[in-house]
Amino acid sequence: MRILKQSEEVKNTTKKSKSLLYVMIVSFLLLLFRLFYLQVVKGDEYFLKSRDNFILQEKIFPARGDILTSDGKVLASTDASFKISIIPVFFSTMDQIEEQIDRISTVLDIGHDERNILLSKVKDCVGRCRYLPFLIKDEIPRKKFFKFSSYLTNFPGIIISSSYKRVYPYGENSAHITGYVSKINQNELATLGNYDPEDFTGKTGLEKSYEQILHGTYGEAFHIIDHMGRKIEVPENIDETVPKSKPAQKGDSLRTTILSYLQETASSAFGETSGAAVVMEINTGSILAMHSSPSFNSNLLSRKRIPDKIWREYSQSVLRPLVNKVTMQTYYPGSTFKVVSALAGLHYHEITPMSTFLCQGCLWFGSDTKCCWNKWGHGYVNLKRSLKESCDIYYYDLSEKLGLEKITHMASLFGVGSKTGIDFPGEEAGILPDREWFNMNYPGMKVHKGLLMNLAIGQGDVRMTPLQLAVLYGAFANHGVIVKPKLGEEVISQDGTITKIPDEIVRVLDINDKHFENINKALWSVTNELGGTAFFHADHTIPDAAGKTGTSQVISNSEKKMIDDSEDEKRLMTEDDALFVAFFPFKNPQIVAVAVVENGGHGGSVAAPIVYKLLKSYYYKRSFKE
Amino acid sequence: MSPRRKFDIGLIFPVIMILSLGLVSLSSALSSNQGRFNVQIIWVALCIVVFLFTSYSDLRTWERFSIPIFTANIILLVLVLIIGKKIGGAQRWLDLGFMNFQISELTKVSIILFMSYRLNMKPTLEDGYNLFDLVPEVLALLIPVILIYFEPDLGTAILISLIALIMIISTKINRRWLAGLIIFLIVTSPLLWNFVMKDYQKKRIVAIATMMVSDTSEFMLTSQYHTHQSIIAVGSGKFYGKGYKKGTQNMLNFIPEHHTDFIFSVYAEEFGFAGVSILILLYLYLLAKIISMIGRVQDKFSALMLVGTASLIWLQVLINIGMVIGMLPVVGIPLPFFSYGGSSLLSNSFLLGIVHNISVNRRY
Repeated sequence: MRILKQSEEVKNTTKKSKSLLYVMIVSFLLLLFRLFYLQVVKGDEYFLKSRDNFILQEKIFPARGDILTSDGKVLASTDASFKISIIPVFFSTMDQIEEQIDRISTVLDIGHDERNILLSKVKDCVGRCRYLPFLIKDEIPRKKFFKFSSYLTNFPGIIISSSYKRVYPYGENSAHITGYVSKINQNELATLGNYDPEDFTGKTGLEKSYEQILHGTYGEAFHIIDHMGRKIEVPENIDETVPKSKPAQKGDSLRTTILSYLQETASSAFGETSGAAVVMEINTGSILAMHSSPSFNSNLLSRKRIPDKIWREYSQSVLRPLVNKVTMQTYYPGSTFKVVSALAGLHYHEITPMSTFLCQGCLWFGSDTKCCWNKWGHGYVNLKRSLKESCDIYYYDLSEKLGLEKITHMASLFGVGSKTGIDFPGEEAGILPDREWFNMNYPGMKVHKGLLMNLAIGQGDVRMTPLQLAVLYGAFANHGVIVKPKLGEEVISQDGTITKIPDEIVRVLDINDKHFENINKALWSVTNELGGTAFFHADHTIPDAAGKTGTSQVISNSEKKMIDDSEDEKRLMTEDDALFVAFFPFKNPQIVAVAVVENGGHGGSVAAPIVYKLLKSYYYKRSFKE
Repeated sequence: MSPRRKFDIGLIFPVIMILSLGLVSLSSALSSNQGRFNVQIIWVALCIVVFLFTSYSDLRTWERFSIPIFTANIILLVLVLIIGKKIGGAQRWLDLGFMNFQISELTKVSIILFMSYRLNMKPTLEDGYNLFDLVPEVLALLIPVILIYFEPDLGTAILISLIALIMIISTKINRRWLAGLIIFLIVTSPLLWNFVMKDYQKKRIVAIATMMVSDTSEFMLTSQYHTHQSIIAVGSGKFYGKGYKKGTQNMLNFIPEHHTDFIFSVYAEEFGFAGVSILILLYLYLLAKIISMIGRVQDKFSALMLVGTASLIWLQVLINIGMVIGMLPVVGIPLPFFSYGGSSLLSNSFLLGIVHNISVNRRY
């Protein structure tokens, strides 16, 4: 075999290299095909992906609108706080995320559970969600944040933004009006729509009923971030398509009808005593003061996680500080209900103001005995004395004449058994034991005399909230106009537009003014005539008020006897509830005030002084202005 | 017989264009690091000197020195493994004080020189080389390949093996032996997978394989993350690109190694498919130019030098762009005349100088 010459070898290599060139061309065509696919076919898709990389969209939470009193004091406002979040996409392993969170927790105390919940959430997140910030800790107070800010901003994959904390300057004084805000729950998330799962919502009080107005609108911020997730300044218009940030819009403010001084009077009048008081403007239904005692500190509850200890203390207390007793607690109206029976008597012509019944202390019928609170008897009692001295026998007899329907019909006209419709959440309707109610609750039972008598004096089954009582007495004062109570006076939007919240009248009763006058005169004598149940407890330094005491039994006398002497606390809890309602001033009624002292004993001696404190406070601040 | 030329502008033009596009991309990728860019300018200047030097030197000298260069290179590779500088987990660089020199870049040159020299010395029979004829060359070749493999730099090890293989194939080889070799490679590749390749290397290959068939966008592994980000960069350039210094993937550092091995993604992001096509056509033009010279040289050494250089440039372009756009695993292969780095630029310029030397000095 011969050896090839150089020229033959080169020729051979030339031939081979031709094929090599074809291979090169084909391989480059493959590259170009792939590049065409990536850049032209899928270009738009990748363009959006590249934007996802560096544009961090952040939702900006709006500041909540303020809640103000009618006289301009702030009941609820917001304070700056900071929150810190982590963006998973900047970490390649879970370990790194864990490490980062642990590092942060050295300066900001993050609970063990909190940490684990966060980590499992991050672990579950795949796809688009890895680009979104996960909240590590919020409600970092301003002071604490600035102390560590230089340290915190050094962490990659970490984003810090400001948020708000709700503050209630009056705390316990106004807690039952404002309510509190707390982290949104699943239910609200579904119904409110468009809320961020990390947001707060009003849980009770005005915070709840005016949630939509107070909340505000979310803003959006678009940060440009680098591969470490650090916010950076934009290098000279790197991308003109980056959307402009939109600031959050603070919620509208709510001006309430509350008068701050009256509210303070109400809360200080109660102290630690359990009970409720409400002051309402007779003609407009505006609530000027509303206090439920004991109250709670709304600042402690307005957090993302309410400390268990505080929550337990509040929710387990027998005095139920979380319940707004003005709207959510029902009481036997007791003698304060007598005006309804009296009015029914007059309206249905069963009695005249001069008709009398004989009170001998007790009434015997069949095997049953019913006694007046005054065992000695009042003798012959007319309408005025029946209210002034609060004779029970008068109403027992009257109830027999009237029958169930007339009393319950009259009561229902005044809103007994139905909600007042106040702009406040969780209102109770109370109970009006009419025929229907008896049929439902005691099927087949005849409504006997005893039950009817109980109803006539506000005992037995009838239950009302203090607010309903206020509306009822307000209607007596203005001769039959049932107003819808309200706490919202006006909505002040951030641009300064003021929207009045209109007064509403539920119904106007077609009842002779004379009847109201007769009853109101009797109510006047309760507080202003010797012998009236509240005469000695009334404050006679201010213009006359007209009112009615109520001492309602929590349990029946026979039950009371069964309680052992040793059970002091139980005995205390079964003491009568003390009630007092008054409208003021008698000559030209402006307001109606109700006070209920739970287990307080006699209405005149315990509840009346509270009401008079309120009337006095109102009188001294208001009358000079008018 | 064409007259002797002083300068082959047809060969130089595409390289100048590629270099310029490379510098434009580097200035964008290094816009926050002007110092590094300046270093690259110095390298370019130095490489022009190297290019001119080899262009107008005597080719015989290089031919004669190919064995000493090869031997020196092996010594340096051993040195790298002992006292080399570790960067990013791999020990590939020798610290020369003023620069970190990547010895495997030198190997690319020395292997082409060595193979051209040896194959030129070895007479070929009519029906081509018998594989036993090439045993000494293959054994010698294995030394640098294995040393580089242990740096570890699998990419370069494979690259130089492929170059040597192409050079061998470009000579006359006995057909039966060639067929046997191909079968051998097919049989041994599973063994390579199981016993030679490291876990991270396998992972990369699997990652690429899965990406080719599914468009999944969840990348947790680092290698996948790099590829993912560079594909986004390339794709987001669309047809015309985002514009100079407006590539967000580049400017905001989402592309890893964006001035070295991934510089192509910076270019693709900022200049789009249009720019990319031009660059690839420039490379193709350069390769066609080099290969077209083979038919006109008269000695085997020159022909093999041309084949070696062309395949080196081709394979580097193919592997680099291939890995940037997710068609190939991520390996440390730079884009010739384009990526940042002195070692690669030096070796490529040297070889280009040889090509130019052949172009202007060899009689056609």
